[in-house]
Amino acid sequence: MTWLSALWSLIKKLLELFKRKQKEPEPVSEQYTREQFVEAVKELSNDAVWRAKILKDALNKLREQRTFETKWVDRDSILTQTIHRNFGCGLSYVFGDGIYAMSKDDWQWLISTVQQDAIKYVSEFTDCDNFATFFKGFADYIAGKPVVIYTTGLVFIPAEQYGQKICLCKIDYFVGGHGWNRIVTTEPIEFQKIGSTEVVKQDFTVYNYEPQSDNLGDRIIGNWCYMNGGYLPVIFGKR
Amino acid sequence: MKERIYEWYLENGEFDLELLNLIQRECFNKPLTPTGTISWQELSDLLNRDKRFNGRLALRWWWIFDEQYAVADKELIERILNEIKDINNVWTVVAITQAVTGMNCGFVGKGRRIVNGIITEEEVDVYGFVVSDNGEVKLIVFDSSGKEVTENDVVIGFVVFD
Repeated sequence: MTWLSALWSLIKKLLELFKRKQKEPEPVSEQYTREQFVEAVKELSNDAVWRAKILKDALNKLREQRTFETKWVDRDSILTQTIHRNFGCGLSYVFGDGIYAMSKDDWQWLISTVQQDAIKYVSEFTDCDNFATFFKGFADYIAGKPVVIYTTGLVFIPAEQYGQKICLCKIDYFVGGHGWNRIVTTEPIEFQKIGSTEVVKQDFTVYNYEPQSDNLGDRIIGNWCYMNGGYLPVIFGKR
Repeated sequence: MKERIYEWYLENGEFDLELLNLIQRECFNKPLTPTGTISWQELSDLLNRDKRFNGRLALRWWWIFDEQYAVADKELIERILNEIKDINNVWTVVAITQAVTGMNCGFVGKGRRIVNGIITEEEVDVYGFVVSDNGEVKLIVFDSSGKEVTENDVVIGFVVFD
């Protein structure tokens, strides 16, 4: 009899516990707001190691925002275009056999998402070549493949833009060595070969991209003319 | 607590472009003071003395270079690299590291794998940094998988100092 009553008492206690458990409210799941997240980012980003993590996470999230349709363009085809459109005959791009082209819409989206204008320009330490590296490093990662050309060369101000007052003898004003980017879009283009009447048609277009100002352009952006490798056109005034 | 909020939101929160832009801007433009600086000539001498670089003065290839480069603290660079170790794009690793420190101490490059003492045709993407290690200025170099490169692994034929 004793063990039966002990068993019954145990069952009752278990039932009571079970009922109480059922009546207890569910623990509130952890939830944080966007504002709390922003505050956390602001505080954590005071540490350089955290900044690296946060930036990497942001780039990963940007990758999820858009799917890019890309098309491979080989190095020789790009060089054909840059030579005959007077961009210069050197790509200063020795890291691969070519690059992926994307639509201009995709490019405009990508350019607008990379916020490198927030990086402070410091002569020598964070200047043109650094900005060119930032854009290649970030844009290639977001696109998931190599889409940006890192390039170096010369920039000058064409005589007719610089003005006769300073630019004597109609010679272009040499600005200096420079680092910038080139990108390739899927727009078709036709151009005439230098020293020939032959017209070449290609299904991609090369652009210069100035990462310090987010400007995309042809050979001239603002009042700078960009050229790399093969400087004879500069010397002989053919632009 | 901030860490917990960050990790929770990263996993569960909504991210639009406005938020992602704000995050980037918080991470940029908080430059650190470098341990020191090194001139282009000193850096060239360092490269020339380093057997991994095959005695080449790769910098002269480029029409653009800086007169001064930052020297970063080795431990800081290693901690940052550890945080982004899953990124295997050499340009992205250098871009992130330089953007969050504000130091032009990094470079990317190309090397060839050495197997049994023979330089093979296999190309290796590399990246590296100018660092101060107990007061001594050194070049630390890694392949795209994050493995540190020694003179027995890879001979580096080309570097782009940023």
